[in-house]
Amino acid sequence: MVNRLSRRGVQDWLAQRVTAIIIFAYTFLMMPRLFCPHLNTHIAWQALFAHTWVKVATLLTVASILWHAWIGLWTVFTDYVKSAGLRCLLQILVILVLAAIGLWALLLMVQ
Amino acid sequence: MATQDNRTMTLSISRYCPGEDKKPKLKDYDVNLADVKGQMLLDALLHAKEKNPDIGFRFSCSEGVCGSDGMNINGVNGLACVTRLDELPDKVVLRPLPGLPIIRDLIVDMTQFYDQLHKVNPYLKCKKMAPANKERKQTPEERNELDGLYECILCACCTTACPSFWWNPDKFLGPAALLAACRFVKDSRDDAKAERLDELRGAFAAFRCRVIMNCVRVCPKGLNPTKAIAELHKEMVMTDEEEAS
Amino acid sequence: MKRERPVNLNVLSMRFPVTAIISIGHRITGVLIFFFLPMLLWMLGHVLSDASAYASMLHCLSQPSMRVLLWILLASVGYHIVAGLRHLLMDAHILSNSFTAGKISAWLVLFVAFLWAVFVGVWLW
Repeated sequence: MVNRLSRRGVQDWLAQRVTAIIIFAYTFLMMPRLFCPHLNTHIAWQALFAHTWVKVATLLTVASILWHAWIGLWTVFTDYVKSAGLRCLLQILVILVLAAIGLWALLLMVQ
Repeated sequence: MATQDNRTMTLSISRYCPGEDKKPKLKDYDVNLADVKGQMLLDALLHAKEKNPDIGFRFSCSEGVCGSDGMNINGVNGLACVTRLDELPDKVVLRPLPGLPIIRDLIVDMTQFYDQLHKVNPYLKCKKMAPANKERKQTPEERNELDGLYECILCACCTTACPSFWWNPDKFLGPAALLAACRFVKDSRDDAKAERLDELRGAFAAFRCRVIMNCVRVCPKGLNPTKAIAELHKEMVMTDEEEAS
Repeated sequence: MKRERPVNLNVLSMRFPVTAIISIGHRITGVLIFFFLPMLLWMLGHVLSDASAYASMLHCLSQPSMRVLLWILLASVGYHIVAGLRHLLMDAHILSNSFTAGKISAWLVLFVAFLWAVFVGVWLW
């Protein structure tokens, strides 16, 4: 019998890879701007983020980072933290931090 | 015969006697290789055991097919009977296979290893009876699919070298069990492929592999569990789950 | 009284291939990047704010301690991405899973990540 939990391995495995590709694509496109002096100006950044599609792409990437980080950290915790109570606490903390980051990014994009 | 080694080799063996020792300790045993009959580490170990009969280690076939004498040799898992003495330095540190409870000296409790193997149902599951008085046939190509998977001797060198197995020996099946699972998934005579794959879709069974490749490095038969696990991942992603009947 | 049997987890006594080093490096950089996420958002916030906020952010980042942090972040991201690409290529069966291919690609990752770290280091100073 297959249920939601019993296919979690496949889902997480796929999610890690799909989010990784999204994050890589965004980083690859953004990174050169960091190193080009004429693109790394305040005005240039403002102009870039004036476009709606840039805001959407950014939020999509942030969402990908959140999911990717969650799966990664969950794996780390389930490897090294054997105390269920401590692991639960750490996972809650991580979820809160990731949620805060997500909301922060959202607020920045809609301003 | 090769020139006989005249070195004195120091075997630094992890000794642990339950009831006497709190934890394992290394103890040195000098062996003059000129006195050792044979070219393998197992021969030197047996020579040391002649003078120190209480050194505990498993061995049987002495030719690399039974998988009994797996141990950690200078930091790397291997079989003592196929590890050549002339390829070893003067000091050889022997510890038990990592990650499994130590019963005594170099003897570990293999229960967790066998438990994980049982979970993959390592036997053919066929829906129909075999044709009367005939074998279930395979083409040579179908038979080739089993190469690199059927040769496993269950020595546990790979699984006990896997950090993911160390951290979750009850949940992650480990390289050997997953190699066995792949062997049956790939067998054209088996009728339970979908069922086998569905058993592995959970978060732990097959997906704790981090491609560390310790398993590939230590396998005495030259097998590649990382590749088998990748094959299983691919099969699971590419095929749908079987609906509960 | 049943005594617990000891387990050999003497990791320091064991020898690991380069593929294992890549893997633990991937994990360490991943965890590091998580801790840097708030800083990234902080930077993004200042970039999207007014000119004086942007200038004050650049001033803050030019402090030696901040440059070190920035270097650690960028070097970690570079390593994590290159090691991650290696994973993706192996999953897609573009890169072989043989031990030899694994080792060669692992050394390549280390080399590229090192070059990136040097490049970013030079750029920051």
